[in-house]
Amino acid sequence: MASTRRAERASLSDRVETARAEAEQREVHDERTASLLGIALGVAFLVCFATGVWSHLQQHPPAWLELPIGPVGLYRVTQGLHVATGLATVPLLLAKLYSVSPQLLRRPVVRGPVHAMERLAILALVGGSLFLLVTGAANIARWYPWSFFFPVGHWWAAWLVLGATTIHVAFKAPVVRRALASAALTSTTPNAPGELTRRGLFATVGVAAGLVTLTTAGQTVPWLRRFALLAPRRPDIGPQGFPVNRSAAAAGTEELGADPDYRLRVTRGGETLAMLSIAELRAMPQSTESLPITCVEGWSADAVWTGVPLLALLESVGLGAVDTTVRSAQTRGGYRTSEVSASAAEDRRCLLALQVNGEPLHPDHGAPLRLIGPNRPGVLQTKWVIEVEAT
Amino acid sequence: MSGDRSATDDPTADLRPGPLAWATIVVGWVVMIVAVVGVTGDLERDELGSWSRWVVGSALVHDLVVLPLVLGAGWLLTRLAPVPWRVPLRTAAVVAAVVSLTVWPIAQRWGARDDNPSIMPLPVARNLALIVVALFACALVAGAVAQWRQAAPREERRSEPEESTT
Repeated sequence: MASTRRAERASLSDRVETARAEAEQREVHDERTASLLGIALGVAFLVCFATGVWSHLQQHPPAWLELPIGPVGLYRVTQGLHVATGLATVPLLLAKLYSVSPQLLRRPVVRGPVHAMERLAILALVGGSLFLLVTGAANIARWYPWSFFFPVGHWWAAWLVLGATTIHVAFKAPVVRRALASAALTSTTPNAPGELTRRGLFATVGVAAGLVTLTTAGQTVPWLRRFALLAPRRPDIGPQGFPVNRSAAAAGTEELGADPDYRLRVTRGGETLAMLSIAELRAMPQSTESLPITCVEGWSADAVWTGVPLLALLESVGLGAVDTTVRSAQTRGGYRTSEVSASAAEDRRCLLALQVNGEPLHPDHGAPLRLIGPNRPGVLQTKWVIEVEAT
Repeated sequence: MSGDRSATDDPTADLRPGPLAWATIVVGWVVMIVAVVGVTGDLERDELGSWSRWVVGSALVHDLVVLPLVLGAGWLLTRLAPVPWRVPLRTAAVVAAVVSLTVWPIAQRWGARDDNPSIMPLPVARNLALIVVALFACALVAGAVAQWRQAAPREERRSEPEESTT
């Protein structure tokens, strides 16, 4: 009885191995296909990683690094690229995993310590890569079915994938070199009628990636707006003609804009230097600037802002361009404050805005007062400002 | 290189990392360890559990659910669809599935909030359905053209003897 079961198992194992070996001979599963998809995927992930690190530095600037104030729309480009590339990478990653799928059935699973180490890195690479794309796609839909803080989880997963990719490249570089240098290692089995060829697979990936990009990139690229059929945002839809990430209702600041007792506090070292009402802020020199608002989730919109240059406010209390902390009235959330460096404060386009597009700010856009500056992530354009603390 | 090496050989069997490769592997592991130490330090215990489940779970769901479904669908299509229809239908199915998967949370409006109508303001589910219908319509046209092309030479061959007798 036991020997019969063993024989059945052996027979099943043989059949699986035969099917695996046959699948591996197909063009879509050969080394050339896997190598080319791997290179494309590597480039896409590199773009996402570089733009992601840039976004992280913008939000958490280290003391030793002075980030550029301009060009005004630089962050809009880098973050738009980050999200668009991430979305276009979904078909690329799935195609790459499909191309190497016969490897999953190779036995033995582990052939020794070096192979075990390589497999472990591949688990981190596959799991981490899928994690980045799944969590990124969920984040742009503002859907968080997990308990960790998205930016933290996404950030460290990116480093995990970078490390795992480095290991994978070290192991596979000779295979890629061979596969690209010679057609000898590619499949010699003619494609069956109706079977997907390598070119067919690449074309399918291209169509899927192109379609995803065409139908979503309009959330940040103005001339693609009309095709933004699947985009999570439209830059022209929202209060006063552009979107909102956190509403006043969610922040508990709905009444702040209409509060007659509202005062902006300007402080330094615990000392209050000024308490300014809206009327007093309006009486100060005003400046109007056209600046995009750019969300880390990839959408961006143009708007014209009017308000007091931060530098003018600081000068009105006897200070110059200094590092400042801008505080919001919202009581919850990780972005209640933001830092403005002295060089950013020196730029007269950095405003404490009272108006947008010629109207007083809508509560959802930060009424009565919000920070807006060039080349800053939206989460750092602090809304419902109640205090400016100079250092 | 070795032209006698068949595509069925294990592509990793003959790998012997050299010194440069080993140095790269060490760098890779250092970066991975930094990532694990970083995430361990930044997340609470239950958050870390959630993060780990999503990393490992993503790989498992792909390998144990998504991939078998894709292979099963491909097998079914090969069994059911006539040869000229297979490539157009396969292409349409893959593109439709991948695009749908990518924007599914948006189409389902899982992150929508009553207090913020600027989040997902478009009828993405309807637009996605229209795109999927358009993809399969294109596949049907392409399949019909392929079928017609395949049939045309046979009819020509059948007509050849008649022409030769005149």
